[in-house]
Amino acid sequence: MNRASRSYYKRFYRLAAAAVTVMMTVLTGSLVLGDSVRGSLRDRVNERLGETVTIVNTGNGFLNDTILHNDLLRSAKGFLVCEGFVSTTDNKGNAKMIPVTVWGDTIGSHKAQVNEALSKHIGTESFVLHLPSNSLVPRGALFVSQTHTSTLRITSHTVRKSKDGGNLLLRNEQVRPLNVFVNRQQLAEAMDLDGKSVNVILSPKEFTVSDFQQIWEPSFSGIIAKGDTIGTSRLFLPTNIVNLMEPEQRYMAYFVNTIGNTHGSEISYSFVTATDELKGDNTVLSDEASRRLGVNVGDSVTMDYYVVTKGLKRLETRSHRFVVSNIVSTLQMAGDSLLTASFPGLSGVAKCTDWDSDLPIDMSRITKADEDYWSQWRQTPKALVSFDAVGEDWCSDFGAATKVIASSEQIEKIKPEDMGLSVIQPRQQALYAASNGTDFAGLFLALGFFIILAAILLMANPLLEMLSVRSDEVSLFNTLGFSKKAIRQRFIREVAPMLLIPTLIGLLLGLGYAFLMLRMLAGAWNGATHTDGFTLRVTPQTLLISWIAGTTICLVTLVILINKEISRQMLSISGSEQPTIWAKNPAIWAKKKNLFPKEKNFSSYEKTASSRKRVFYLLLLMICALIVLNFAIFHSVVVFVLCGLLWIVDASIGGRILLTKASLSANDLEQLPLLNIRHFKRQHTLAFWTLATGIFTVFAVGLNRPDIKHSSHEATGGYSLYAETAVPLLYDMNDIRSRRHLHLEELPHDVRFLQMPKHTEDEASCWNLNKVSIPSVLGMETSQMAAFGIDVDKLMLNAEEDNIVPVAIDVEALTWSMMKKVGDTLTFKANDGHEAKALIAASYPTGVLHGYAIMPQEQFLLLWPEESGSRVFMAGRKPNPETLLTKIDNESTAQLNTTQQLLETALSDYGISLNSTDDRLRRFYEVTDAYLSIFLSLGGLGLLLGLASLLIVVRKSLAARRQEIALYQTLGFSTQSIVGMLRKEQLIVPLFAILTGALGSVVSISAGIREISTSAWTVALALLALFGIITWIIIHLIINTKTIRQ
Amino acid sequence: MGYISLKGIRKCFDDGREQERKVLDGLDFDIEQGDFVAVTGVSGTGKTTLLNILGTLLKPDEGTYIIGGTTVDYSDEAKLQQLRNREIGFMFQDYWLLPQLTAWQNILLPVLAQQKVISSSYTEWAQKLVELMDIHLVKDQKPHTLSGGEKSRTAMCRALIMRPSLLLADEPTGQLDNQHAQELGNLLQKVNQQLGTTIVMVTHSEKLALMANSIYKLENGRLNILNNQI
Repeated sequence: MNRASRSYYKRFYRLAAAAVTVMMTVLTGSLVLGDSVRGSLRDRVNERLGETVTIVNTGNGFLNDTILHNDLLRSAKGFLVCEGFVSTTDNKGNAKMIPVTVWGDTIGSHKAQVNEALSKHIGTESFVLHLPSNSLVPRGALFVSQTHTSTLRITSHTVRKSKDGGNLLLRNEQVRPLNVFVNRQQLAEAMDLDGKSVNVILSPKEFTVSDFQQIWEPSFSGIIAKGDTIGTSRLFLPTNIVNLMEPEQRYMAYFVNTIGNTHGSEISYSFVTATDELKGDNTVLSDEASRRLGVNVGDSVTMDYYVVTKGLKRLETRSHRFVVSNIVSTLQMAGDSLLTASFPGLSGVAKCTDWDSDLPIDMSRITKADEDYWSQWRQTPKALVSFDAVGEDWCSDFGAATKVIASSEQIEKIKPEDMGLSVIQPRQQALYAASNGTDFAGLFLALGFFIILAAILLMANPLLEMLSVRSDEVSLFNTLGFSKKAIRQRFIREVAPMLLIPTLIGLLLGLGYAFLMLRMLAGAWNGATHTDGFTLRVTPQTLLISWIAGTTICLVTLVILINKEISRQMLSISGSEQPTIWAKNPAIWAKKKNLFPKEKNFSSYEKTASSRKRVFYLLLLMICALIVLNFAIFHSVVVFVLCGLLWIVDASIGGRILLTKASLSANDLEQLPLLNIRHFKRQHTLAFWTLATGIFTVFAVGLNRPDIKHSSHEATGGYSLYAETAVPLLYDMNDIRSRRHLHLEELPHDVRFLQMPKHTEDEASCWNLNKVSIPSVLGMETSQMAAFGIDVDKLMLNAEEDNIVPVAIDVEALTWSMMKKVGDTLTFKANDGHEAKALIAASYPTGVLHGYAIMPQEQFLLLWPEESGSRVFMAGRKPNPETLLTKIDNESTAQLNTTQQLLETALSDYGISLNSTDDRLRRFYEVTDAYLSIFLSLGGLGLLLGLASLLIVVRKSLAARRQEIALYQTLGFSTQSIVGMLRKEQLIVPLFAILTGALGSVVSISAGIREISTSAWTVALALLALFGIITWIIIHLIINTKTIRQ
Repeated sequence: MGYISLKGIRKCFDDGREQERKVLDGLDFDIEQGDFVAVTGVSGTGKTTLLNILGTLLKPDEGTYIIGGTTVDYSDEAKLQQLRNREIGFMFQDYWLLPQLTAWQNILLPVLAQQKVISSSYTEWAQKLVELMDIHLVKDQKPHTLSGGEKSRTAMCRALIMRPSLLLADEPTGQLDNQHAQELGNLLQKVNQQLGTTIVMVTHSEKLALMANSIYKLENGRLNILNNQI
């Protein structure tokens, strides 16, 4: 019997099956897509880590490669890794700079390899590799050579495939890196690392920090112990190491500008050593110095020296007056190794005039006597001073002594982590990041939600129609004594199998949908991920989950429909008109009937209409209040979206009130279309919700597209240019002397810079699909933070708590990339190896610094003193000191270009990558735009489905009302008037739905309504009109004189 | 020639087997104004076809239909609609009351074919009709809450709202019990006598047919008068 019924009513089943297939396709496709992206990200983990199980990272220090000979590291590979950049020329001969990661590897000398991603950029051309010439001394320290970068010319290179470790990357990012592999020793030489050629060890074996500690010796990290004399190859012993050892004696070799006597005689540029052996303001001069200055024991001398400030390198000259307490022979000074140190750019040259120091040395002050001294004694100090007297000036974040005297027990106190070394097992964390990053299954389910909704409505329509057509059958079964439950079950048994088959078809089509979406993500929607190479992953579990979910949705919908419809029909058969609530409470219903008998003309309609009116006005009031409150207090996009949705609910109630009003006015027969709508309210309600929510979704999303022209001041902080450099810029670019130093003299004076030191961790911008645990950090002066929308008071409120560093993170990175909130904490590893807790104390509007945690610069430098200088800077114009920075607008494009060119030329050695802030914002907006495009495409598809649903509803309605139409004809209605009446009836709801949805979308975007461009409004209005016209055309095509006559 | 005159009416239907089935075969029929005629016949003889032709819903294949001295012009759809609306009232076996409208709205429905706003003359007339038919207490109810008798009377009110000169009734008591059928017959007589409406009624009911002034039997596509004897 079921089979016969299925065959007889197949036209209904065909349509429902098509809808189920669509729903199942989107559902399965979304889940498979999620699996595929997640699987691809996990693949990327394997690709970038290779067989690595354990990583030893030296932080900013370096290791001697002899450590690799130890058994623990036998199977490990040591690398010397640094950020650099490749300069090459493109096809048109234009210079091109590409930031790269340089890996010093064990490949043959003078050989190079690049990974496939970089190969696509540079082909087989020769290129110049620019490297930071750090030497072992941190660049922020006072005594470094003037040369910031060195170069390696790579004349030929091969491609290192992914399977051979070409895509090595230590950060949790899915975007393939641009890697260059060169010989490690060669790289170490180029970087002037004095034999220390390892800063990263990748091991396929699992070991812990205590295992590593067993094989590690301080000497591997450059601690040089000769007897009880402890020095370092990095010039300065770090403060934490000195404090840890609590040495007997400290020595600090320093370069002073002048040693002068009270009579004006002076010696320029001398080495002087501070020692704990002297106390107070005492100094011991070499006989050479004593002779040149003409001073004896008891006389005073003054020493001038440079002091380096924290953060950007600003040199200050300070003086100290000493009393000569002794005079010793220069020979004696030279014989004491404790008193000297090797200064990059200063030591080891033949003449003073060969000094290559970053310090501003006036060579004209160097005399023949100085050269003679240098020729004989080199950096032998000319004086010793008390450590107490100069320690505060000479010790810096980069070190507290050049040598110390300490026992072996004291040296043993030094642990690897004290030297900034860390041992991590990255795979687990990386897989966690890959598995918990952007949830594409959820994302695409959300994006395709409207299709699913439209498909469910499309499925419900023909089933409802069929049940309605079969009301006689229900009546017959009722007459034959079937219970309501039995009738329901009979229908469910008949319909359910017809829906199960399409779920299986949808399952298969879902794979195609997922494949198509992956292709789109790699192609037209690439802006959303900036990633290609996603592969389709299908797991039986996902298919099973999808099938169960899809089938459950179908069956639940089916059971609800059948229950409701059969109950309605049974009530109809019994002649009762009681509403559901009364049906559930027969006693109340009976009482109500007695209370309001029909004779008294107080119908339940009036009662319902009156309560509906109350609900309508209350809801309207609530929406208005919410909007006002949201504008004033919450500023929440979610609240606005909620208001938009509530508006649709309210409009639907308003629509029902109008219809009830029409039906209550007995003489208002001229409102026949409204009466008809009220009578066929189920199908009209379906049409209303499908179209209203569809329009709402598409327009709310479409209008929300960010517009670069309307980006707020906070998005750029008022700056026009954003730059990153591969090598840190150590000098304050707002300082005129620094500008000279950097060859930026031609830069207009009103151009101001914001320089920020950067600590590199994971990329937390929208380009990274992995879940980011620790984002990269920028240090920023608190005075500059307000310009970026950071609430400094809120940020600093917790800054005074011990051991807590406050950071601010932009809203989008915080929510989507990190999945954290304000109040959560992060753990950073400081340069000295200690773990620092950072509190996310505030969030800031997403803008040009998207993806960065912003930390007060002072705290930044305490954590990472060795990362001073700026890796990120921004530039803008400041017309006068009283006004805020103003973005260089369109009128100043020429000036902007000039500034850009000047900066690019002057800072080319630093590997500068410079963009306008608008360009950078545009790149971020591309991601949002791509997601919005996906949403719009899928929403549009859903809307088409909704329109198809409407079309079916109208056609079915016409078919079902054939007798009614015949009656109109019989009663003498002209065909035209019947057509007009039906068109009006069928158009009212869709047009009302379109307007409701559009208004709802406007409410939902209230937050940024002023930022929506005129073009966006124009497009939206045009689309709205187009959609209205299409609806109008469809209705007119379906309802015409020909179809009515038929 | 009567108020209604059918001359040589032929009507065939395609029976789906490439053959035509003759339903009316040269039928002649004259009815005087104010007459009350019953048409009987076994099922399938073409009673409803005859009624549809009288109601201008069907065009005969051959023959002429004159009503009130005017030959019906089937080429002018507008005139036909006007004729149906103003001159002819219909009562159907299953009443054809629109479920979305109240009894009152159903009664006034034909007025909408002529007017966008229902004038008071029609509402006053409708009030008289509902009182005449004794359905004034249920006029604001929807059809599904009305009894069979109330529905039939509502249908009759709707048929009379435009004050037609001809009322066509197709098995008007088909769904009524004897008591209600008798009441409806009485009402039809009342309408015929008090309003002077010409009535053509198709029925299987002998009792109802006997209430008409003359009875015709449709056989072999033609009408034969039975002179009040079945």
